[in-house]
Amino acid sequence: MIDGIDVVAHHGDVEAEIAAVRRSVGISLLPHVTALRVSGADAKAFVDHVVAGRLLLRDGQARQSLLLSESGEILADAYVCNDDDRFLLFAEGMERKALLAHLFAHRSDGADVAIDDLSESHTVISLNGPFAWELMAALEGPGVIGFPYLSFYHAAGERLYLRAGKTGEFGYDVLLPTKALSATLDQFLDAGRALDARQVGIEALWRCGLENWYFNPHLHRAPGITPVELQLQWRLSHKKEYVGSSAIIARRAAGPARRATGLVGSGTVGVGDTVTFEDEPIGVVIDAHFSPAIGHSVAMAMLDVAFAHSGVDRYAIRGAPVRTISPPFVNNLSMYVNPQRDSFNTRDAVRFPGSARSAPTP
Amino acid sequence: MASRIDERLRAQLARRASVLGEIRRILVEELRLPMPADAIDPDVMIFGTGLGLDSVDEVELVVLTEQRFDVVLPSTVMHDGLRTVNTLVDLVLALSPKAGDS
Repeated sequence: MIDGIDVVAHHGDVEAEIAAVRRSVGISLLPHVTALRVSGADAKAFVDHVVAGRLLLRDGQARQSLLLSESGEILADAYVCNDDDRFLLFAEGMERKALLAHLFAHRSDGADVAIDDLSESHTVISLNGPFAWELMAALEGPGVIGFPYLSFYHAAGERLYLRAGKTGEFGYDVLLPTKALSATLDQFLDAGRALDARQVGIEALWRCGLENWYFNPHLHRAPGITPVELQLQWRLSHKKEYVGSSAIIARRAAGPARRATGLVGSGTVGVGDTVTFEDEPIGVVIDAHFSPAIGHSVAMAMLDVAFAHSGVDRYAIRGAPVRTISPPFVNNLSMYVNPQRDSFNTRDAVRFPGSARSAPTP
Repeated sequence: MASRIDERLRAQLARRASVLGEIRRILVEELRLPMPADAIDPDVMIFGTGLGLDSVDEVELVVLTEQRFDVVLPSTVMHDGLRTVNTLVDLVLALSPKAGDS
């Protein structure tokens, strides 16, 4: 269960699912993502107030941002989309009912703002992988290949395609009517067979997300932790007032006590493990897994800020050495694939140096 | 907390913090990034999402970094060294043994 919704953790083989995301295409159902449409004369002012990031978006553009509490803690991870003077929010990290209650609580009396929960009738399917664009092109035509990152368009059948993703590979989130979900999934799987596409559960997506240092609202939040500690200040506006902005300004002025830091370890690293320096605790692991791509455990740890720097090989977890490194932990094949030149069938010709970014051996 | 850090680690962290601070300064003062320097997180992506710099900024950032630290960044810098602020710090420290020394 994620945010009160049943989500498939895996389809029997997490390693194969990760390999699909890293080498071909993974097809995932994301029923826990809430899709909302905000409309009305005051919609822009309202969204600008509840979303922490800048809202300078042209029609058809999207942006990654956050919804914060008044104390600056993260409530939800969100894509905000400008849809012809209406706004779409794709949010996760918060139960749908609580998310709606949060939004309604910040809607001023008398404001002309309507909030429609599209999730009552629609669901998100996500395609992720270095050849996800090829699967999209097979179904939607070659025009989709030039579709810029963080943009979206409406298509036939009440579908909306958002070029996004949280794995470091090409990604497309498709919002479609739930009644068409089964047929559409079959359509993707049929067309994806030629690309070695497979269904991918949330566990593989989250593991790929950590390898690329994506914020995970389900794993990385904790009391007292704000975007300042999580290195997510790029998602915040520095010019406007929004819900939580006073707390963020105060936190930045005081300086964070801890900061999210990337770790690589040769042994098993798990959530909750204490990170030490000369046997003294300096932090705790908040997300970790074994990365088949680089052959070591990778982790996000919240370290005391004095120790929270990359390139240090003197820390340990349960006595085993770990090394702080600068994420992302992996190279992405998508950065080397050119959709104008390459294809899944010619993938061996792509000059990819391999998944390991450097020599991360702890 | 910091009192537990021995001299060797203190020197290593100070050197890194110095290079990080200088790259933040370049981003804010030279490339006119509209944010306070302490809001530039070390692991933020430089291009696209993240800081949102473009290919013109890339050239300027490379030139300014090379000038400031007296290094020559490799031609493959875009794929690895310029992914985040911290990967650029890594690269500078690897290329210039004295970078960040006070």
